[in-house]
Amino acid sequence: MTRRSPPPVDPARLRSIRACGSRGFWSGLEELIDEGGFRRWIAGECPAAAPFVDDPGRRQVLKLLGASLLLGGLAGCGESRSDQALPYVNQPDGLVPGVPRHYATAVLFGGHAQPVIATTYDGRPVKLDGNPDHPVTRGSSDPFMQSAVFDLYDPDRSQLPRRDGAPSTWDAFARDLASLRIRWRDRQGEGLRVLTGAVTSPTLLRQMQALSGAFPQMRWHRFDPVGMARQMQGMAMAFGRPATPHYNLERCDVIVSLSHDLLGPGPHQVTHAGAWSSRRGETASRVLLHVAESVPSLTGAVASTRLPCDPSRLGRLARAMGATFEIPGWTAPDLTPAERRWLDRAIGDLRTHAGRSLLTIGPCLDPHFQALAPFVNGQLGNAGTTVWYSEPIEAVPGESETLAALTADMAAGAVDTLVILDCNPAYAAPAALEFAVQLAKVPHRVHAGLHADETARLCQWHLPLSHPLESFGDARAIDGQATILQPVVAPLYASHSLWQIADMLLGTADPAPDAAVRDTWRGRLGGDSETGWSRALHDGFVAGTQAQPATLAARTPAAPPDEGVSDALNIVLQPDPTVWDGRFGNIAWLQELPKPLSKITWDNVVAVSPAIAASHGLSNGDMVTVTAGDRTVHGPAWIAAGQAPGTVALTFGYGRRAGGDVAAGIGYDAFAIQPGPHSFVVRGTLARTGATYPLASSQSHHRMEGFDFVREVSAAHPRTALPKAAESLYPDWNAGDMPENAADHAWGMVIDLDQCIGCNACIAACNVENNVLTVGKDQIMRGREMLWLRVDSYDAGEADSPKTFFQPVPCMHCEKAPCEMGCPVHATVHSPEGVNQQIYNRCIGTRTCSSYCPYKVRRFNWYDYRHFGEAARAAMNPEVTVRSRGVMEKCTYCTQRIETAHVAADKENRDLRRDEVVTACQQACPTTAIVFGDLKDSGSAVAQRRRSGRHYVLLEELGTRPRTTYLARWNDAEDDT
Amino acid sequence: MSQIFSPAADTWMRLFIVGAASLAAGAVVFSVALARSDWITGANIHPPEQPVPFSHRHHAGELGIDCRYCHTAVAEGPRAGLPPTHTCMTCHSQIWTNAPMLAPVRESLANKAPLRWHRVALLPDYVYFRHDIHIAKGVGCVECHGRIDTMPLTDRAIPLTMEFCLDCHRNPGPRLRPREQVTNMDWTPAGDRAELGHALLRQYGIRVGELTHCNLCHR
Repeated sequence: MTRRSPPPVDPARLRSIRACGSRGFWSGLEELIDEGGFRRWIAGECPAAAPFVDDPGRRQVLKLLGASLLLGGLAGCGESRSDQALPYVNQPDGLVPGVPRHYATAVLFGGHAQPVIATTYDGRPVKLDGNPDHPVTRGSSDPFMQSAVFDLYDPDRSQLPRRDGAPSTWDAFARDLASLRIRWRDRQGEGLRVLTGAVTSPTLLRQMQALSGAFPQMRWHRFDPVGMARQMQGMAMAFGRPATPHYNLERCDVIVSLSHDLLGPGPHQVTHAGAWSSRRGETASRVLLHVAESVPSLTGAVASTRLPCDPSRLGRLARAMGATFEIPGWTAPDLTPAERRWLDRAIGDLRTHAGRSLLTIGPCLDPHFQALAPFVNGQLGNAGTTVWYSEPIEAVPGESETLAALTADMAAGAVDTLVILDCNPAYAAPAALEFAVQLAKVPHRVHAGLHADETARLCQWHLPLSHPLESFGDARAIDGQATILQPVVAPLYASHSLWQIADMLLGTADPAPDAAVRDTWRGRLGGDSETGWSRALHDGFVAGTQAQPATLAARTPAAPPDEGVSDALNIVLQPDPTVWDGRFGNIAWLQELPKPLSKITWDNVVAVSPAIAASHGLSNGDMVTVTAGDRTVHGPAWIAAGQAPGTVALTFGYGRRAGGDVAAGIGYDAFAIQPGPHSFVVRGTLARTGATYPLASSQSHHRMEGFDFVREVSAAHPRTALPKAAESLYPDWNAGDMPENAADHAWGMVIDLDQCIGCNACIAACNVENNVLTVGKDQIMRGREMLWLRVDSYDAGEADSPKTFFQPVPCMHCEKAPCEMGCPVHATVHSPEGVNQQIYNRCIGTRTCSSYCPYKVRRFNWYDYRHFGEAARAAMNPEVTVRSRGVMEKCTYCTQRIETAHVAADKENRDLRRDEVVTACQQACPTTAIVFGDLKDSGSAVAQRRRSGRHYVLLEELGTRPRTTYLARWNDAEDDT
Repeated sequence: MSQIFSPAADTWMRLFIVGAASLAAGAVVFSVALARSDWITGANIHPPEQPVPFSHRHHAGELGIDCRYCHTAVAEGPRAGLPPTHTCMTCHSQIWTNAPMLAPVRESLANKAPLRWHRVALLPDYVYFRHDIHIAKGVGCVECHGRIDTMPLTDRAIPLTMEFCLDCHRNPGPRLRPREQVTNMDWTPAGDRAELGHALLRQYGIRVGELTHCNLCHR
């Protein structure tokens, strides 16, 4: 078997490394060290050339040649297609077959509403995008929102109620529930407990209050494995009661973040990224972002200055900051020169820009430290401008309503009935709580969820839950604004919504889907109730329900406890950037989405700092044991450039034991090492086991070879270098063939590297829009990833503290496209408007185009990847072919959207409007890094960007004249040096 | 030494070369002809079996019902749409109420189960055809569907080959008509059709020259 992973990195060389390459950028540690082994590996392995057979002999080659000739003809044979047409019996009013309809609703993430516009074709939702009218999303999205349709059509979803694992019915459950209710009534609800995830839904809140009214001794527990609980503790320390902070990043001149991943994945990402990016790019008033963090994050990657800092030392930084602001009891500790330098600059900038600056402190720090931020922001006059506080958006659980309290009560035998709604504590509770063991002591256990997951297996009753896209419900977005969820498809299975099940607990026999929500909002929607209801559904939010600023004054923070000095490693526990806490684990598209920084797919890794790798002799893929107290996890090591020297990072969401064929059985379970709920840093040790594990990272499939793919400009050098006067490899155009003469429009795209935060929303949106299929870990290891758009990440500088760059790379749509010269059957040709087209039904799969492509953006279907289950077929966009085996595919500039816009314009006998065509990646991008449009219209956004001094062309020296071009990133640090 | 080849060998050789060459040429001609034959394109072959022997000749021809009475979406969306059972029953709840021929329609209504028709004008999956833009630009139904109004059972009258599509996309003028004549099956232009075509091309703002790139129909 040939080796499928890059050769191991020699850890001894990691310590004193300086950048190599012409401009100091590198795409991976292997390239930075460049031992020659990596060069040989990538030359031999480079994606398309991965050999099928080791050392094929002459006869073997001839045999395969003959067999492929024989079988080649069979490739044309496929299942024959149905010619049936089934009209409606009674067609709904206003429905036009084949024309998409759009509905405003929301999907849920950590209990919060993510307001979306759902696009449905003939009654099936195929695409979600942010609701452009909602201030939280403003039309953009994140990978979780984009992938929610795959969650809806997940073939592993639970499809019918189960009792003790055997199929049952809702009627049987209703009968059992009736006898349980008698029991609860007799005991005043004593022993009745309900456990949910984080809840913002006004209706569920009302229902829980009603339940507690009916059964006074009942208790409602809430548990979100990640959630905002730590933040709430910090706020409670600062204000004496929990509050939700709201950041106005668009008003900030300076942001100082102590390990707070403002731009990272989570319910806040879209809002924060949008606001932050309004102060990036072309604007004159740029935001300065100073970040000190232990684990590389998206916020750190785009920071002006970034300090890698162990969690134990982050506390010292906070303490030093407290001392600077002369808070009693906060004494200045010893700091290293680098820490002192960073802190002085951060505090200096905070003070210089007082009133327009912001200090945030992340949830991995002790709540005592978090309480510093509101105080400092108050002192600087930032409160009310760059940050304000409201009553909590979510229903914050009291001391006795947490998971820990519930587990203690279960252990004491005080729980008689436990109803678990849309929450998976058997997997996601910290192992130290021994939730599963205690759950066995509860006599009556009911679970409702999308999947028959780990918790479902331990409960007598499992009830299939409707997906939010199938439900009437409500929830609040992070700005507090309520959205009424409306179903965009009838439930696919015998499922009930969360709110229906809550109504059943309240004693309604067969609750109507919308009854509970209508009850909540009756009389509160303005106008007569039906108009108000229709307006709320149509708009996708209930106007006037935003959170209001609360008048809260931050107390002087109490002196933080001394955490002592320890030699043990800091083990940081984080949600995974693509599967979060495991709730998205069964979505293959998210598993295959490369993690933003490491580009690893289908696994979680034990990320170690270069220093730990050197001291422990670790290379990428070496299995390690991480021990904290008496608990251990085993996982493959991954050397993370820029991680603080004494820090090991684990991510949640993997090591699932049930919950679907995709999720179960991959990666390690980081909850196994978590000492308690919402405890995200533990001390421990790490040891190498000697085994190795293959990891599928898509990054090292491409090498920089000394080219300057990413560029920087600074105040001193505000323009990118002028193009080299190199001769084009390709012949000149005949005047008549010039693409700019061919049609009225010339499509192009400009991507601003200064605004890209590497969040992957564009890739996720592209996957959904263009029916890009998943290929699996084995195929990724062979370099056969299918993503049409990749986001490369490059580093510059030292491995200990590099500067990170993101570069989205779709098809360049070269005007002189090498691929088109290579194709023997003209399956890739140009449109008059300059789109480099790929014609699937003409392609015979020689892959010549891919080998001619200097940008490596073409993807080949080595196998038939369409085995995604019957249900998921409904998720496919009917406007785009689902490609079969043996054809090449690539980014099309969303040609279906261009053609649809043309048809709409042509039907009205008008020209296309300015910026009327929006590609899926552009629509999803929360930071407007991607802009698409007509280069011939000098007023279009894309033409304006092309005139920028930061504009540059990827591999311009090749003379391919790409239509996709870039804007260089600003180097803020160079401004004042 | 005796002769290896008989006197006839040359003749046989010549015959063989001529035969092989004509076989090769014949194979090319045959396959080109086959690809265009009704057997492959499905045109003019006997109509498919339908749940109800619906007659366009009767409804569209003799009764003169407009195409859009049943195919309502033709001007608004990509698909012309087949009429829902309710549309059939607007008339057939009043006339021919007990015709055995219409039993499947009544059952469809009673059981709320759709009628299962077989498509006649079936395009391959990789063709993204839109009706609405063709209607908007004045392409008559008859151009692609033939004289539907004379068909007792509906059949594919025109082979919907790529060549057929491209002929028109390269030179749309001669196939255009005034919008109000789109559903008229036996419309003939009063004057010179070529002249009218030029006028209509301008009037409709048709982007001639941009209608033959691949992604227009394949994506």
